[in-house]
This record gives sequence, C-alpha cells and structure tokens, in this order.
Amino acid sequence: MSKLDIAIEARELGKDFGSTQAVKSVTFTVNKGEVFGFFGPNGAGKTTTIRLLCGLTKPARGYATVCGHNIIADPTGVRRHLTMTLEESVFYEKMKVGAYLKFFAGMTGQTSKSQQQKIQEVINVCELSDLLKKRIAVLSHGQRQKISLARAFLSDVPIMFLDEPFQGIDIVHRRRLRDYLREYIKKGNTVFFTSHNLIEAEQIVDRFAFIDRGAILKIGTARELRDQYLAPTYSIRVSDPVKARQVLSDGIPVNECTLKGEEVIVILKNKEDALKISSLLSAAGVAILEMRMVGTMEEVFLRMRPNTEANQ
Amino acid sequence: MTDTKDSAAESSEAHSCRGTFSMNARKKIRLIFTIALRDITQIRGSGLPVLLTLSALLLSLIGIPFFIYANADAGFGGALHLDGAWTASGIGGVIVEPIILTLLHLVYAYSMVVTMILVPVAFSIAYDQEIKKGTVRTLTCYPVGVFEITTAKLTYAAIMGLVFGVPVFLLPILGLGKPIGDLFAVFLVPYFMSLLIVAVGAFVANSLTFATKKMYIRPTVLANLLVVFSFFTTSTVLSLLSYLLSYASPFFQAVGKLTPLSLFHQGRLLLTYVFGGSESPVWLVFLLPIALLVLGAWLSLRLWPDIYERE
Repeated sequence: MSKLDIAIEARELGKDFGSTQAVKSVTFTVNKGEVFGFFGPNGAGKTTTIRLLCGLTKPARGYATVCGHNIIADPTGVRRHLTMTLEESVFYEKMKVGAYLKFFAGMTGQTSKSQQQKIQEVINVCELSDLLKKRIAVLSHGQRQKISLARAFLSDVPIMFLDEPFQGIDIVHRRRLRDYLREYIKKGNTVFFTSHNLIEAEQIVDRFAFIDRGAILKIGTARELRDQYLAPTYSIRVSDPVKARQVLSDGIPVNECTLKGEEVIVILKNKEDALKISSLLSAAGVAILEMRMVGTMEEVFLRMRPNTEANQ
Repeated sequence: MTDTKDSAAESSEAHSCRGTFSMNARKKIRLIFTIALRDITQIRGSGLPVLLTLSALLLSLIGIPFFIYANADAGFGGALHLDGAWTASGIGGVIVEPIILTLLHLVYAYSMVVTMILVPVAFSIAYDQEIKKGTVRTLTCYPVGVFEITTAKLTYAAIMGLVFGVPVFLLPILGLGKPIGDLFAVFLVPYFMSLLIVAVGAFVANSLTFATKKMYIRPTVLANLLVVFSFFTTSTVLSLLSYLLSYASPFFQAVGKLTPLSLFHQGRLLLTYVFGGSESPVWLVFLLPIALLVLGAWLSLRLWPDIYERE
C-alpha cells in the first residue's frame, strides 16, 4: 500500500482530559475509496478520535495525517479536505432550511454555480424540497438529521466523517442515503463512519475497527473478524430439513445441528468443512434453497471485548 | 548556469509560497465575510437585533432633544452657543476646571458614547450567540478557527456599528450646520477607536486563553472592560468626575496618569489637531494597541477550536 493510497493515517494518537485517557493510543490507516467503520460502546473514544483527526482538538501524543496533511501542523487546513457530521448537531434554529443550505454551501469554497448544483443535488438526495421554507426550529429529529447530512454532502471533498449519521432517519431515506454514500465511494472518496447500529453498518462498511476504553481492539473486514471470533455457523434452507440434518450430522464433524422451521442451523467443528455441505446434501438429494453464514458483527464485538458476558 | 537555475527555482518557490499564502488569505477572508453576512442577513429572518435597536433608540432619544435644545437661542439659558468653530475655547462660557469645553468636546463626546455602546453591543450579540448556542461547533466543521470566528464577529460589529451609528449620530448633529465632511470625521475617529479597542480586547482574551489553555475571560468581556477603561480615563471624563465628586478627586488624579493610554482621549486630540487646535495626540500610543492586535491575531491562529467547548 503506497502513501498515495492512504487517506487517513493515525500513529499512536492519544488524547487526555485531565487525568482520564479518552484515547490511549490508536494506530490505523484508512485507504482511499473505502468506508472505514469505527465502532465501540459509549465513551470508548470514537468521537474524540474523529475530533482529533479533524483538527478540532490537539492530540496529547502521536500524530495523524488526513489527505497527507499533518493534523498538528495545520489543523485548520486539514478541514479543507474533509466534511463531517457531528453526533449532536447544533443548528441555527431561526434559519430557514433553504437559507441554511445556502450559507453552508458558501462555506465550502466552491464557485456560485457549483454551489447551486450541490444544493440542488443534496435537496434531491435528502428529499428536502418540502422543508426549504421551514424554520429549522420546527423540524423533527429525523428531519434535522437529514439537514445535518445535507450540510455535510454540500462539500466537494475527498473525505467524509459521519458520526451516527442515520440516527432518527426512516428506513426509506436510510437506503437512499446509503446509495448516495456508495456513489461517493465509487468516485475514489473515503468515508469514516461511526454508529451504534452494527447490523446496518455491515451493509456499507468495508473495514471495521473496534475501539474500547480508548484503545483499538481489532481492525478487519467482516469476513476476517467473523472467521476469527465466531464459530463457523451456517443457516441452510433446504427442501427436506429433517433429512438434511441427518446427513450433515453423520457426514461432517459438527458441534451442533438443529432445526429451526425450514432451516437447518449447523455449527461446524472445522470451518474448512463448510465446502463439504453442498456436496453432501446434493448427494443425498436435498436441494439447497439458501445458505448463509450466521453471526453478526455485534456478536463479533462482544466476543473480542474483554470481560463481557459473551466471553464469560 | 547552475546558480541561475537555483535562483530561478528559489524565486519560483518563493513566488509559489506567496501565491499559496495569498490564496489562503483570500479563502480566509471569504469565509470571514460569509459568516459575517449570515449574521447580518439574519436581521431579515429574526427581526432587528433587539439590544442593538434598543441602544440606538435610547441614544437617539437622548441625542436629538439635547442638540435641538442646546442649539436653540434660549437653550440651557443661552449658555451654549453651538455655532462657533470646533476648537474655539468655551461654548457659552461652560468651563469645568481644568477643561475648557469646546464644541468638539461636546460632539465628540456624543459620537464616542454612540460608538462605544453600539460597536461592543454588536460584537457581544454576534459572538455570544454563537458560543452560547453552540453553533460555533458547526462552523468549525469548516476550515474556520478561532481567528476567523473572532474576525467575523468583529466584521459584523464594524458593519452594524456603521449602519446603526451613522444615523444615530448624524440626526441630532445635522442641525449644527457644520460641513458633512467634518461631521463624518468626528464620527469616524471614535468609531475606529471603539473598533480598535474591541478588537484588542477580543484578541488579547484569545492570547490569554492560549497562555492558560482555558477561556477564563471571554473576548466580549475583556473588550467591554477595555472600552469602559478607555472612556473613564479620558481627561474630560476624569475632570468632570473629579469636579462632580470633589471628595474623590485625589483618586481621579491618580487614575489620570493612565489618560495617555486612552484611545478615546487620543482620538479627541487627533481631531483637535486636524481641526487646527493647539493639542495633538501622542502618536506612539497608537502603536501599543496595534502591536497587541497583531500578537493576539497571531496567537489566535494557533488556538484549537476546542476552547469553545472547554469554556
């Protein structure tokens, strides 16, 4: 991986608040063109890490570069290359949505024509056309969250920091916004994403980083982390579940093989045996309608986190 | 040949650095004006800034009747004659030892009061609203730091000070029949002094935050304190107070040693000098606030935006 392919690089980055180490020491790189998910419980250091990377607060130790710009040497300059949403957005309550977007489009440094195009684009993406003449003070939580995202989308920059971006937004709009982020990534841009909703995050995140008590526990793709932390568990929908259960129990070493409606849930002793499942069932004349690996990233996180119920 | 190439490269690099610097400066200026313009256009959205409007109305309510009455033949028992030269000694024989009031004293005092109220009030409105409501956190999502935010709020104060200050000052004074250029000069000098004092207060407060890592004193508070200091240390105000509160005159005499540091005092001396009077300002005194301003601005550029959250 060359330096040119790296969007964000953090080396032993840390931050203290008084005697509390909010971020002890985090080291990671985020590649250009990926959605990097940053997850952890409340108070783990997610938002502080984002604030450090965005040049909003001075690190106590370590350093980081964002788009090749050192966050300590030029903290304000770093923010020319990124846009962000805050976990708790604060608005100019008396402003109308249209004026709000126009103001922040002006803050992006684009030409007037580009600003107009961007405003129109985010109005369409976030479906704000009905809200333009309304004051922000009268909007619901979800509508305010969309405006916060729209503000972030106005910038034409290569990195987006999204802190709990979909909180309070309905399912239909979430899907639309996820599609927009995918389009953004396709252009070679980068998203640094945090959320408490790991199930939803799996639909968009390329690599996961788990942070707890100010330190990174693990970084990897969903598959890598599942392989490492979860037993190889498969849910198989078949034409004859009873027969399938018998065939699998007799044919390969399993820890558990149970029926759940039309599905067989099988926990293998060795993950390499997963390849034998389809051949065994085919030979027995059982048709596989659907087969998927079971185990969410939530379970992964609970397993990697020390001193949690899942590990006791 | 190599030397020529090297010097050409150095020259090109220096030119490029200057180009980057000027581009960054332009971007900063544009951001500052975008923020100031938002503050101004909110007048349409949420009504006139209440405190600023009330201040302007109150000043007008005092200024207009005072000057109309004073300009009338029988005004103040005929004691005031406001038709003389700016620096003619005594206006109708009003003498407060050791100050002999001139027309300039009177009009300058009004102009000073107008600007020393409107400019800091405008700055406080814009700055405090942003900090107290926390909207500054949204601004700092952009390439905006403490320097840009302070400067944007000062820009707002400068513009609103003019918009509200000019009519409030001119309306009562126009009846004096003085040339409009003179009137503007008498307005602009204390206006710029007010602006300079507020800017020094704001940036010195930022410097203190830089040194102590915590915002112990807000820019608006220090700015207001400096304005009050500069007002009360003018020789005229001190002499009047000393005259009215004769029992405390030793105290006022001691404070009077600070008079040369008062920018309002130096501003009046500057106008006296311009209008051909016998006094002139101590020019070196103007260097102190400018030096503080430059130092404060430089340190503000080095402050991290989280000072607004640790406040």
